[in-house]
Amino acid sequence: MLLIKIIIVESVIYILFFQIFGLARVKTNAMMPNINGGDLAFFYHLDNKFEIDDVVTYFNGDSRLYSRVIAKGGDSVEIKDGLIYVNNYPIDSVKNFSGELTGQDRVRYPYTVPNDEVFVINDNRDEKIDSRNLGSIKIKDLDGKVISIIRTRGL
Amino acid sequence: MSQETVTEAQPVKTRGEKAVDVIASVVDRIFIYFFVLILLFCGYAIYDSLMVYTEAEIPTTVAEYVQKDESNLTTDVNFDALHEINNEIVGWIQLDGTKVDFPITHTDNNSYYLSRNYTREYSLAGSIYLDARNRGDFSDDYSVVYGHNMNDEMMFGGLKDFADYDFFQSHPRGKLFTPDRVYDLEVIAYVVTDKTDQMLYDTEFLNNGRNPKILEHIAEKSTNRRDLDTNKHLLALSTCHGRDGGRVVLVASFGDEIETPTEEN
Repeated sequence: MLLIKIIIVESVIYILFFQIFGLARVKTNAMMPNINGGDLAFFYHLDNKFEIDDVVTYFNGDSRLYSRVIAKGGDSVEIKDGLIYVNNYPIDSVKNFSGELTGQDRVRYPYTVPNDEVFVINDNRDEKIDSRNLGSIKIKDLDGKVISIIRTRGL
Repeated sequence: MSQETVTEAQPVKTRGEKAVDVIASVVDRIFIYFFVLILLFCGYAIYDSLMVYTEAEIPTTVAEYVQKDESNLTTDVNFDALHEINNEIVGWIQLDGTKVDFPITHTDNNSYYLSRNYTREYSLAGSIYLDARNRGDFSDDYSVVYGHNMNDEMMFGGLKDFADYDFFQSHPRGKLFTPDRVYDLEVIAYVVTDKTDQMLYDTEFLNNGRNPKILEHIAEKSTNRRDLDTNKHLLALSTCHGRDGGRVVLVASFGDEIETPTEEN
């Protein structure tokens, strides 16, 4: 009886925390000030609908990254003079962010986001590894949507 | 609270007593879940701080390119190999008798290496890095190197040892390795100041060489000092001190160039 119980409990925990939800210690300051390095992030793997302002997690090589969705399939994105324009409408100052939009990005503007992809950008604009240099991300390549963080340091 | 004593005293239970039992067990469960949650939360906090200190150590991939002698002093640094890992490593500093024994990075801004280690991975402890305004070959009259003040003398946490007069007197020596040269360092002053110190952190003078009044300023501000009448190039090692923008700066002067490291290493 006990063995069965242990197996059941373990498989429930496995499915819950590895298949449905995920958790990881954030190892980047790319989402400052909203997510800091050292935070514990919880994410939901099963979502396949992403809205503007959702924070998503994805992989670039081995490293797990976190960014915010600013445009969806069909939208056109342009960054000029330190502002982000989505469909020719400036979108900055909606959420807290840090850093500055400077320097040359690898993608060409205006950038039209293909269908089934999202254009993501870091809240810390100085951290440039996001759609500005990786291009938009396929929704099926996203690892999940961040649903909560626990912060124990740097409050 | 205890169910058992109740059961033993009266085996036959009335409805009221059963209700008490149920409530008691529910309360017990709530407490258990609550404490398990607290335990997990604290466990994460401890894991997180452990990671900060683990990340503060020099990655083994970097450390293996340094040769040490019997007394654990760095004798040679293989910059060619280090540049394969990170081409922004411009030097290696070591102060005798302290845990200061680190690579120095240099890039075009002063925030990049605040939270990245020598292999450019995220690390709250950051790296030891040369001011972006300085030249990467340490040829300026005055160079500033930054590092976090951490416990266990990690990063530049060891600099505060020099506040002690006896320690300062007995630890005058250090070395700076660069790809081209090895410099002898002499620790000449321990300065307690803050981040607004124009003389030590001045942008204009960092761009154009040394502020002529800097030695007077160091003499005035320092709590421990040696002979400050020097025309040699200066190296300032800066770290945080306290919470309100305080800074501790250990000033060293470049001595004579020791020797050019041999190629076969």
